[in-house]
Amino acid sequence: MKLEFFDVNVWFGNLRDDKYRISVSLKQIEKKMDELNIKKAIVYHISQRDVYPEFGNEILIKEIGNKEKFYGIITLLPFQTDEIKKICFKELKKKKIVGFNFFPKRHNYILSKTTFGDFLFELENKNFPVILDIYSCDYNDVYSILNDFPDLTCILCNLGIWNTDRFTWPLLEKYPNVYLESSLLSLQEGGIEETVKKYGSKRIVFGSGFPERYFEASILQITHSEIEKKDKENIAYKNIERIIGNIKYE
Amino acid sequence: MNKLWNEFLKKGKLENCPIIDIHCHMGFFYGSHMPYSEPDIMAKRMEIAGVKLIVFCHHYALFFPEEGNKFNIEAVKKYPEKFKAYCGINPNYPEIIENDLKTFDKYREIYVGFKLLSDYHRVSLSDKRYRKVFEFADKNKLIVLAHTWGGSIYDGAQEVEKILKKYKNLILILGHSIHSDWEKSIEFVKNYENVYLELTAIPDERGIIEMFVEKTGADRILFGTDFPWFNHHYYIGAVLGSGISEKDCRKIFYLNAEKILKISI
Repeated sequence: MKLEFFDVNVWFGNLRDDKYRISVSLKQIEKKMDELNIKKAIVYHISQRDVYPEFGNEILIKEIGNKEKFYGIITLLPFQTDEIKKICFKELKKKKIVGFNFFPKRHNYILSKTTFGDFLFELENKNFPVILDIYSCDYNDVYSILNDFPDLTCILCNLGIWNTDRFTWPLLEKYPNVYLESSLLSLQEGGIEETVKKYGSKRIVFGSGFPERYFEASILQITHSEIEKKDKENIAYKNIERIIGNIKYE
Repeated sequence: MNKLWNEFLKKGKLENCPIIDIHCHMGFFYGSHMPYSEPDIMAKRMEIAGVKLIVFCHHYALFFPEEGNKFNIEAVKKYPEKFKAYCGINPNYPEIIENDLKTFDKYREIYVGFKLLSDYHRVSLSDKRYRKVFEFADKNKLIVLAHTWGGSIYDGAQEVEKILKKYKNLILILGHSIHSDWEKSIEFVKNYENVYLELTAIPDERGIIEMFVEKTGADRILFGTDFPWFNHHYYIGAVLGSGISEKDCRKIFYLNAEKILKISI
Protein backbone atom coordinates (compact mmCIF):
# COMPACT_ATOMS: atom_id res chain seq x y z
CA MET A 1 0.00 0.00 0.00
CA LYS A 2 1.23 3.46 -0.83
CA LEU A 3 0.57 5.92 1.93
CA GLU A 4 0.78 9.66 1.77
CA PHE A 5 2.46 11.42 4.64
CA PHE A 6 2.35 14.68 6.57
CA ASP A 7 5.60 15.07 8.50
CA VAL A 8 5.51 17.05 11.77
CA ASN A 9 9.20 16.87 12.64
CA VAL A 10 11.54 18.47 10.11
CA TRP A 11 14.01 21.34 10.31
CA PHE A 12 15.99 23.13 7.64
CA GLY A 13 18.94 25.50 7.36
CA ASN A 14 22.63 25.08 8.03
CA LEU A 15 23.89 23.58 11.27
CA ARG A 16 26.77 25.47 12.82
CA ASP A 17 28.71 22.23 13.38
CA ASP A 18 27.72 20.10 10.42
CA LYS A 19 30.42 17.45 10.58
CA TYR A 20 28.48 14.87 8.58
CA ARG A 21 26.97 17.28 6.04
CA ILE A 22 23.35 16.72 6.93
CA SER A 23 22.08 20.30 6.59
CA VAL A 24 19.44 20.88 3.93
CA SER A 25 17.54 23.77 2.39
CA LEU A 26 13.78 23.88 2.16
CA LYS A 27 14.11 23.35 -1.59
CA GLN A 28 16.09 20.14 -1.05
CA ILE A 29 13.53 18.93 1.44
CA GLU A 30 10.74 19.63 -1.02
CA LYS A 31 12.46 17.52 -3.67
CA LYS A 32 12.90 14.63 -1.26
CA MET A 33 9.29 14.91 -0.10
CA ASP A 34 8.07 14.64 -3.70
CA GLU A 35 10.09 11.45 -4.17
CA LEU A 36 8.63 9.87 -1.05
CA ASN A 37 4.99 10.98 -1.26
CA ILE A 38 5.25 13.31 1.72
CA LYS A 39 2.61 15.85 0.85
CA LYS A 40 3.12 18.34 3.66
CA ALA A 41 5.46 19.09 6.52
CA ILE A 42 5.62 21.21 9.64
CA VAL A 43 9.10 22.73 9.80
CA TYR A 44 11.27 25.11 11.75
CA HIS A 45 14.54 26.79 10.85
CA ILE A 46 17.52 25.50 12.79
CA SER A 47 18.53 29.04 13.74
CA GLN A 48 15.37 29.21 15.89
CA ARG A 49 17.14 26.67 18.07
CA ASP A 50 20.83 27.38 17.55
CA VAL A 51 21.16 31.10 16.73
CA TYR A 52 18.37 33.17 18.24
CA PRO A 53 14.65 32.33 18.33
CA GLU A 54 13.23 35.60 17.04
CA PHE A 55 15.84 35.80 14.27
CA GLY A 56 15.01 32.24 13.21
CA ASN A 57 11.25 32.81 13.46
CA GLU A 58 11.52 35.60 10.89
CA ILE A 59 13.51 33.39 8.50
CA LEU A 60 10.97 30.62 8.90
CA ILE A 61 8.01 32.85 8.12
CA LYS A 62 9.72 34.30 5.08
CA GLU A 63 10.81 30.90 3.72
CA ILE A 64 7.52 29.03 4.06
CA GLY A 65 5.39 31.97 2.94
CA ASN A 66 5.06 31.01 -0.71
CA LYS A 67 5.54 27.28 -0.38
CA GLU A 68 2.29 25.41 -0.28
CA LYS A 69 3.62 22.20 1.28
CA PHE A 70 4.97 23.77 4.44
CA TYR A 71 3.60 24.91 7.77
CA GLY A 72 5.74 26.45 10.49
CA ILE A 73 6.25 26.42 14.24
CA ILE A 74 7.49 29.44 16.15
CA THR A 75 10.02 29.19 18.95
CA LEU A 76 9.19 30.98 22.18
CA LEU A 77 11.22 32.43 25.02
CA PRO A 78 9.82 33.68 28.34
CA PHE A 79 7.84 36.85 27.52
CA GLN A 80 9.21 38.62 30.58
CA THR A 81 12.48 39.45 28.77
CA ASP A 82 10.64 41.07 25.83
CA GLU A 83 12.74 39.12 23.29
CA ILE A 84 9.73 37.69 21.48
CA LYS A 85 7.24 39.87 19.65
CA LYS A 86 3.68 39.94 20.94
CA ILE A 87 1.76 36.98 19.52
CA CYS A 88 -1.22 37.86 17.31
CA PHE A 89 -3.13 34.68 16.54
CA LYS A 90 -4.96 36.09 13.52
CA GLU A 91 -1.60 36.93 11.95
CA LEU A 92 -0.31 33.44 12.68
CA LYS A 93 -3.00 31.94 10.51
CA LYS A 94 -1.94 34.06 7.55
CA LYS A 95 1.65 33.04 8.14
CA LYS A 96 0.77 29.32 8.28
CA ILE A 97 2.01 28.93 11.86
CA VAL A 98 0.45 25.87 13.47
CA GLY A 99 2.35 25.50 16.71
CA PHE A 100 4.96 26.71 19.17
CA ASN A 101 8.10 24.94 20.24
CA PHE A 102 10.35 25.41 23.24
CA PHE A 103 14.00 24.59 23.90
CA PRO A 104 14.30 25.25 27.63
CA LYS A 105 17.58 23.41 28.17
CA ARG A 106 19.37 25.14 25.31
CA HIS A 107 17.76 28.54 25.83
CA ASN A 108 18.22 28.52 29.60
CA TYR A 109 14.84 28.90 31.24
CA ILE A 110 12.29 26.80 33.09
CA LEU A 111 9.34 25.59 31.07
CA SER A 112 6.58 26.02 33.65
CA LYS A 113 3.36 27.68 34.66
CA THR A 114 5.40 30.38 36.39
CA THR A 115 7.13 31.27 33.13
CA PHE A 116 4.32 30.90 30.59
CA GLY A 117 1.16 30.61 32.70
CA ASP A 118 -1.35 32.93 30.98
CA PHE A 119 -0.10 32.16 27.52
CA LEU A 120 -0.30 28.40 27.95
CA PHE A 121 -3.82 28.84 29.27
CA GLU A 122 -4.66 30.69 26.05
CA LEU A 123 -3.09 27.97 23.93
CA GLU A 124 -5.07 25.36 25.83
CA ASN A 125 -8.32 27.20 25.02
CA LYS A 126 -7.41 27.72 21.38
CA ASN A 127 -6.32 24.09 20.83
CA PHE A 128 -3.04 25.52 19.64
CA PRO A 129 -0.38 22.81 19.55
CA VAL A 130 2.73 22.97 21.66
CA ILE A 131 5.57 20.87 20.28
CA LEU A 132 7.88 19.60 22.98
CA ASP A 133 11.17 18.12 21.87
CA ILE A 134 12.35 15.62 24.46
CA TYR A 135 15.94 16.20 23.34
CA SER A 136 15.59 19.74 24.57
CA CYS A 137 13.32 19.49 27.58
CA ASP A 138 12.67 16.36 29.58
CA TYR A 139 9.79 14.27 30.75
CA ASN A 140 9.71 16.09 34.11
CA ASP A 141 8.93 19.32 32.21
CA VAL A 142 6.23 17.58 30.23
CA TYR A 143 4.61 16.07 33.30
CA SER A 144 4.72 19.43 35.08
CA ILE A 145 3.19 21.42 32.21
CA LEU A 146 0.43 18.91 31.64
CA ASN A 147 -0.36 18.75 35.32
CA ASP A 148 -1.06 22.49 35.17
CA PHE A 149 -2.69 22.53 31.72
CA PRO A 150 -4.35 19.14 31.32
CA ASP A 151 -6.20 20.02 28.09
CA LEU A 152 -3.18 21.46 26.32
CA THR A 153 -2.68 20.11 22.79
CA CYS A 154 0.80 18.77 23.08
CA ILE A 155 2.89 16.90 20.50
CA LEU A 156 5.90 15.14 21.99
CA CYS A 157 8.78 14.85 19.50
CA ASN A 158 12.04 12.90 19.54
CA LEU A 159 10.73 10.70 22.33
CA GLY A 160 14.00 9.00 23.18
CA ILE A 161 16.10 6.16 21.82
CA TRP A 162 15.31 3.48 24.37
CA ASN A 163 11.69 2.41 24.54
CA THR A 164 9.72 5.29 26.06
CA ASP A 165 6.41 3.59 26.92
CA ARG A 166 7.05 3.97 30.65
CA PHE A 167 7.23 7.75 30.15
CA THR A 168 4.59 8.28 27.50
CA TRP A 169 1.80 5.83 28.26
CA PRO A 170 0.86 7.46 31.61
CA LEU A 171 0.53 10.75 29.69
CA LEU A 172 -1.64 9.20 26.98
CA GLU A 173 -3.79 7.66 29.67
CA LYS A 174 -4.36 10.86 31.61
CA TYR A 175 -4.28 13.71 29.07
CA PRO A 176 -6.60 13.51 26.04
CA ASN A 177 -4.73 15.99 23.85
CA VAL A 178 -1.27 14.49 24.08
CA TYR A 179 0.15 13.08 20.83
CA LEU A 180 3.35 11.17 20.13
CA GLU A 181 5.47 11.99 17.09
CA SER A 182 6.29 8.70 15.44
CA SER A 183 9.96 8.74 14.39
CA LEU A 184 11.58 7.29 17.49
CA LEU A 185 8.47 5.29 18.30
CA SER A 186 9.01 3.58 14.95
CA LEU A 187 12.61 2.94 15.91
CA GLN A 188 11.51 1.08 19.03
CA GLU A 189 10.53 -2.50 18.23
CA GLY A 190 6.77 -2.79 18.76
CA GLY A 191 6.51 0.88 19.68
CA ILE A 192 3.84 1.73 17.12
CA GLU A 193 1.89 -1.50 17.33
CA GLU A 194 1.63 -1.67 21.11
CA THR A 195 0.78 2.01 21.51
CA VAL A 196 -1.99 1.67 18.92
CA LYS A 197 -3.27 -1.46 20.61
CA LYS A 198 -3.47 0.29 23.98
CA TYR A 199 -4.42 3.88 23.13
CA GLY A 200 -5.61 3.81 19.52
CA SER A 201 -4.05 5.25 16.38
CA LYS A 202 -5.43 8.76 16.90
CA ARG A 203 -2.69 9.57 19.40
CA ILE A 204 0.30 9.23 17.07
CA VAL A 205 1.37 11.70 14.36
CA PHE A 206 3.90 10.92 11.66
CA GLY A 207 7.36 12.47 11.95
CA SER A 208 10.79 11.68 10.59
CA GLY A 209 13.29 13.84 12.45
CA PHE A 210 14.81 14.77 9.07
CA PRO A 211 17.55 15.82 8.43
CA GLU A 212 19.02 14.30 11.59
CA ARG A 213 17.32 11.01 10.74
CA TYR A 214 16.11 9.44 7.50
CA PHE A 215 12.63 9.95 6.02
CA GLU A 216 12.87 6.42 4.62
CA ALA A 217 13.31 4.76 8.01
CA SER A 218 10.04 6.13 9.39
CA ILE A 219 8.13 5.63 6.15
CA LEU A 220 9.14 1.98 5.75
CA GLN A 221 8.28 1.17 9.36
CA ILE A 222 4.83 2.78 9.35
CA THR A 223 3.99 1.33 5.93
CA HIS A 224 4.68 -2.22 7.13
CA SER A 225 3.71 -1.99 10.78
CA GLU A 226 1.28 -4.62 12.02
CA ILE A 227 -1.73 -2.33 12.32
CA GLU A 228 -4.84 -1.77 10.21
CA LYS A 229 -4.79 0.38 7.09
CA LYS A 230 -7.06 2.99 8.70
CA ASP A 231 -4.64 3.23 11.63
CA LYS A 232 -1.72 3.79 9.28
CA GLU A 233 -3.65 6.58 7.55
CA ASN A 234 -4.49 8.20 10.87
CA ILE A 235 -0.83 8.24 11.82
CA ALA A 236 0.49 9.15 8.37
CA TYR A 237 -1.57 12.33 7.88
CA LYS A 238 -5.13 12.34 9.18
CA ASN A 239 -4.40 13.05 12.83
CA ILE A 240 -2.24 16.08 12.20
CA GLU A 241 -4.75 17.48 9.73
CA ARG A 242 -7.45 17.14 12.39
CA ILE A 243 -5.24 18.80 15.00
CA ILE A 244 -4.52 21.75 12.70
CA GLY A 245 -8.17 21.98 11.74
CA ASN A 246 -9.14 22.33 15.40
CA ILE A 247 -6.97 25.41 16.02
CA LYS A 248 -9.05 28.48 16.96
CA TYR A 249 -7.13 31.44 15.56
CA GLU A 250 -9.83 33.98 16.43
CA MET B 1 18.04 5.80 -4.36
CA ASN B 2 18.63 2.21 -5.51
CA LYS B 3 15.81 -0.06 -6.67
CA LEU B 4 15.71 -2.03 -3.42
CA TRP B 5 13.93 0.93 -1.82
CA ASN B 6 10.90 0.68 -4.08
CA GLU B 7 10.74 -3.08 -3.65
CA PHE B 8 11.01 -2.99 0.13
CA LEU B 9 8.45 -0.19 0.30
CA LYS B 10 6.02 -2.18 -1.81
CA LYS B 11 6.48 -5.63 -0.30
CA GLY B 12 8.10 -5.14 3.09
CA LYS B 13 10.52 -7.98 2.49
CA LEU B 14 12.42 -9.46 -0.41
CA GLU B 15 13.17 -13.10 -1.03
CA ASN B 16 16.18 -12.14 -3.10
CA CYS B 17 17.50 -9.77 -0.48
CA PRO B 18 17.36 -11.53 2.88
CA ILE B 19 18.44 -9.88 6.09
CA ILE B 20 20.87 -11.28 8.64
CA ASP B 21 20.86 -9.37 11.91
CA ILE B 22 24.19 -9.97 13.62
CA HIS B 23 23.51 -8.07 16.87
CA CYS B 24 20.38 -9.06 18.75
CA HIS B 25 19.20 -9.80 22.25
CA MET B 26 16.23 -11.58 23.78
CA GLY B 27 14.15 -11.43 26.94
CA PHE B 28 13.03 -8.67 29.25
CA PHE B 29 15.30 -5.89 30.43
CA TYR B 30 15.21 -3.68 33.54
CA GLY B 31 15.77 -0.36 31.77
CA SER B 32 13.20 -0.60 29.04
CA HIS B 33 9.79 -1.98 28.15
CA MET B 34 10.32 -4.55 25.40
CA PRO B 35 6.99 -5.95 24.35
CA TYR B 36 8.32 -8.26 21.62
CA SER B 37 11.28 -9.83 23.34
CA GLU B 38 10.34 -13.48 23.82
CA PRO B 39 11.47 -16.14 21.33
CA ASP B 40 8.08 -16.93 19.76
CA ILE B 41 7.12 -13.36 19.01
CA MET B 42 10.64 -12.51 17.87
CA ALA B 43 10.56 -15.37 15.37
CA LYS B 44 7.24 -14.09 14.08
CA ARG B 45 8.35 -10.47 13.86
CA MET B 46 11.44 -11.44 11.88
CA GLU B 47 9.19 -12.61 9.06
CA ILE B 48 7.66 -9.17 8.49
CA ALA B 49 10.93 -7.74 7.22
CA GLY B 50 12.37 -10.91 5.71
CA VAL B 51 14.96 -11.39 8.44
CA LYS B 52 16.17 -14.94 7.90
CA LEU B 53 18.62 -15.22 10.75
CA ILE B 54 19.46 -13.36 13.93
CA VAL B 55 22.49 -13.86 16.13
CA PHE B 56 21.63 -12.90 19.68
CA CYS B 57 22.59 -13.06 23.31
CA HIS B 58 19.76 -13.28 25.83
CA HIS B 59 19.66 -10.44 28.37
CA TYR B 60 19.61 -12.93 31.19
CA ALA B 61 22.87 -14.47 29.96
CA LEU B 62 24.40 -11.03 30.34
CA PHE B 63 22.70 -9.79 33.49
CA PHE B 64 21.67 -12.87 35.47
CA PRO B 65 24.83 -14.90 36.02
CA GLU B 66 23.14 -17.58 38.15
CA GLU B 67 21.35 -18.99 35.13
CA GLY B 68 24.07 -18.20 32.64
CA ASN B 69 23.50 -19.19 29.06
CA LYS B 70 20.65 -21.67 29.38
CA PHE B 71 18.14 -19.21 27.84
CA ASN B 72 20.34 -18.90 24.75
CA ILE B 73 20.52 -22.63 24.33
CA GLU B 74 16.78 -23.19 24.78
CA ALA B 75 15.84 -20.52 22.23
CA VAL B 76 18.18 -21.79 19.52
CA LYS B 77 17.03 -25.35 20.06
CA LYS B 78 13.46 -24.17 19.48
CA TYR B 79 14.24 -22.13 16.34
CA PRO B 80 17.48 -23.56 14.91
CA GLU B 81 16.87 -22.13 11.44
CA LYS B 82 16.21 -18.60 12.64
CA PHE B 83 18.38 -18.14 15.71
CA LYS B 84 22.07 -18.51 16.47
CA ALA B 85 23.53 -17.32 19.75
CA TYR B 86 26.57 -15.71 21.24
CA CYS B 87 27.68 -17.29 24.47
CA GLY B 88 27.27 -14.45 26.97
CA ILE B 89 30.37 -13.64 28.99
CA ASN B 90 30.31 -11.90 32.35
CA PRO B 91 33.97 -11.57 33.36
CA ASN B 92 33.03 -11.05 36.99
CA TYR B 93 32.19 -14.76 37.22
CA PRO B 94 35.26 -16.74 36.07
CA GLU B 95 33.84 -20.07 37.23
CA ILE B 96 30.90 -19.68 34.85
CA ILE B 97 33.24 -18.74 32.00
CA GLU B 98 35.34 -21.80 32.80
CA ASN B 99 32.29 -23.99 32.47
CA ASP B 100 31.07 -22.28 29.27
CA LEU B 101 34.43 -22.77 27.60
CA LYS B 102 34.60 -26.38 28.72
CA THR B 103 31.17 -27.16 27.26
CA PHE B 104 31.41 -24.84 24.22
CA ASP B 105 32.09 -27.65 21.75
CA LYS B 106 28.94 -29.42 22.86
CA TYR B 107 26.97 -26.39 21.66
CA ARG B 108 28.66 -25.66 18.35
CA GLU B 109 25.24 -25.69 16.65
CA ILE B 110 24.04 -23.08 19.12
CA TYR B 111 26.91 -20.62 19.32
CA VAL B 112 28.89 -18.68 16.76
CA GLY B 113 31.12 -17.13 19.39
CA PHE B 114 30.95 -14.77 22.36
CA LYS B 115 29.20 -11.56 23.37
CA LEU B 116 31.03 -9.11 25.62
CA LEU B 117 29.39 -6.18 27.39
CA SER B 118 32.32 -4.53 29.10
CA ASP B 119 30.67 -1.16 29.83
CA TYR B 120 27.95 -2.84 31.85
CA HIS B 121 30.18 -5.40 33.57
CA ARG B 122 32.80 -2.70 34.23
CA VAL B 123 35.73 -4.80 33.17
CA SER B 124 38.08 -3.59 30.42
CA LEU B 125 38.44 -5.70 27.28
CA SER B 126 42.15 -6.13 27.96
CA ASP B 127 41.59 -7.23 31.56
CA LYS B 128 43.01 -10.66 32.37
CA ARG B 129 39.54 -11.91 33.28
CA TYR B 130 38.71 -11.94 29.55
CA ARG B 131 41.96 -13.56 28.48
CA LYS B 132 40.77 -17.18 28.34
CA VAL B 133 37.79 -16.16 26.22
CA PHE B 134 39.90 -14.29 23.68
CA GLU B 135 42.45 -17.10 23.56
CA PHE B 136 39.72 -19.66 22.99
CA ALA B 137 38.06 -17.54 20.29
CA ASP B 138 41.38 -16.87 18.59
CA LYS B 139 42.38 -20.52 18.64
CA ASN B 140 39.04 -21.59 17.18
CA LYS B 141 38.62 -18.62 14.81
CA LEU B 142 35.33 -17.64 16.43
CA ILE B 143 33.34 -14.43 16.33
CA VAL B 144 33.47 -12.04 19.26
CA LEU B 145 30.79 -9.36 19.35
CA ALA B 146 31.94 -6.67 21.74
CA HIS B 147 29.83 -3.72 22.80
CA THR B 148 32.11 -0.77 22.01
CA TRP B 149 31.54 2.88 22.79
CA GLY B 150 33.61 5.99 22.16
CA GLY B 151 35.36 7.34 25.23
CA SER B 152 34.71 4.28 27.38
CA ILE B 153 37.56 3.15 29.59
CA TYR B 154 36.19 -0.39 29.28
CA ASP B 155 35.54 -0.78 25.56
CA GLY B 156 36.59 2.44 23.84
CA ALA B 157 39.14 2.64 21.02
CA GLN B 158 42.20 2.17 23.24
CA GLU B 159 40.89 -1.09 24.64
CA VAL B 160 39.75 -2.31 21.23
CA GLU B 161 43.18 -1.74 19.74
CA LYS B 162 44.88 -3.76 22.48
CA ILE B 163 42.74 -6.73 21.47
CA LEU B 164 43.29 -6.23 17.74
CA LYS B 165 47.05 -6.06 18.20
CA LYS B 166 47.08 -9.32 20.12
CA TYR B 167 44.52 -11.56 18.42
CA LYS B 168 44.66 -12.01 14.67
CA ASN B 169 42.55 -15.13 14.09
CA LEU B 170 39.27 -14.34 15.78
CA ILE B 171 36.71 -12.06 14.13
CA LEU B 172 36.03 -8.99 16.22
CA ILE B 173 32.71 -7.28 15.57
CA LEU B 174 32.67 -3.77 16.97
CA GLY B 175 29.12 -3.56 18.32
CA HIS B 176 27.96 0.04 17.69
CA SER B 177 31.28 0.65 15.84
CA ILE B 178 32.84 2.38 18.88
CA HIS B 179 29.88 4.74 18.88
CA SER B 180 30.81 8.37 18.12
CA ASP B 181 34.51 7.58 17.75
CA TRP B 182 33.90 6.93 14.07
CA GLU B 183 37.37 7.93 12.88
CA LYS B 184 38.96 5.29 15.10
CA SER B 185 36.61 2.55 13.97
CA ILE B 186 37.38 3.45 10.34
CA GLU B 187 41.10 3.41 11.11
CA PHE B 188 40.81 -0.07 12.62
CA VAL B 189 39.08 -1.42 9.53
CA LYS B 190 41.92 -0.07 7.44
CA ASN B 191 44.63 -1.45 9.72
CA TYR B 192 43.28 -4.81 10.86
CA GLU B 193 41.80 -7.51 8.66
CA ASN B 194 39.78 -9.29 11.32
CA VAL B 195 37.59 -6.40 12.46
CA TYR B 196 34.04 -5.52 11.35
CA LEU B 197 31.85 -2.48 11.93
CA GLU B 198 28.30 -3.07 13.13
CA LEU B 199 25.38 -0.68 12.76
CA THR B 200 23.33 -0.91 15.96
CA ALA B 201 22.51 2.59 17.30
CA ILE B 202 23.81 4.22 14.13
CA PRO B 203 20.89 4.41 11.65
CA ASP B 204 19.05 6.86 13.91
CA GLU B 205 21.77 9.37 13.04
CA ARG B 206 21.91 10.43 9.39
CA GLY B 207 25.33 10.66 7.76
CA ILE B 208 27.33 7.91 9.48
CA ILE B 209 26.48 4.98 7.19
CA GLU B 210 27.37 7.13 4.18
CA MET B 211 30.69 8.06 5.78
CA PHE B 212 31.56 4.44 6.64
CA VAL B 213 30.89 3.27 3.10
CA GLU B 214 32.78 6.18 1.59
CA LYS B 215 35.85 5.69 3.78
CA THR B 216 36.04 1.91 4.21
CA GLY B 217 33.85 0.44 1.48
CA ALA B 218 30.97 -1.86 2.43
CA ASP B 219 32.85 -5.15 2.73
CA ARG B 220 33.24 -4.97 6.49
CA ILE B 221 30.00 -3.43 7.63
CA LEU B 222 27.41 -5.69 9.24
CA PHE B 223 23.70 -5.15 9.74
CA GLY B 224 22.74 -5.18 13.41
CA THR B 225 19.81 -3.68 15.31
CA ASP B 226 19.82 -4.79 18.95
CA PHE B 227 16.45 -6.38 18.08
CA PRO B 228 14.13 -6.60 20.06
CA TRP B 229 15.23 -3.15 21.16
CA PHE B 230 14.96 -1.65 17.70
CA ASN B 231 12.84 -2.29 14.67
CA HIS B 232 14.08 -4.02 11.53
CA HIS B 233 12.13 -1.94 9.02
CA TYR B 234 13.34 1.26 10.60
CA TYR B 235 16.96 0.17 10.19
CA ILE B 236 16.45 -1.23 6.69
CA GLY B 237 14.83 2.06 5.67
CA ALA B 238 17.78 3.98 7.05
CA VAL B 239 20.35 1.90 5.16
CA LEU B 240 18.37 2.31 1.94
CA GLY B 241 17.81 5.99 2.66
CA SER B 242 21.54 6.58 2.99
CA GLY B 243 21.74 6.44 -0.79
CA ILE B 244 24.49 3.82 -1.02
CA SER B 245 24.44 1.43 -3.97
CA GLU B 246 22.34 -1.73 -4.20
CA LYS B 247 25.51 -3.79 -4.16
CA ASP B 248 26.66 -2.18 -0.93
CA CYS B 249 23.21 -2.58 0.66
CA ARG B 250 23.31 -6.30 -0.11
CA LYS B 251 26.75 -6.63 1.45
CA ILE B 252 25.51 -4.96 4.60
CA PHE B 253 22.15 -6.75 4.75
CA TYR B 254 23.46 -10.31 4.33
CA LEU B 255 26.52 -10.98 2.16
CA ASN B 256 29.13 -9.94 4.72
CA ALA B 257 27.36 -11.86 7.48
CA GLU B 258 27.15 -14.98 5.32
CA LYS B 259 30.87 -14.77 4.85
CA ILE B 260 31.82 -14.60 8.52
CA LEU B 261 29.18 -17.10 9.59
CA LYS B 262 30.25 -19.39 6.73
CA ILE B 263 26.68 -19.97 5.63
CA SER B 264 24.47 -19.33 2.63
CA ILE B 265 20.84 -18.44 3.25
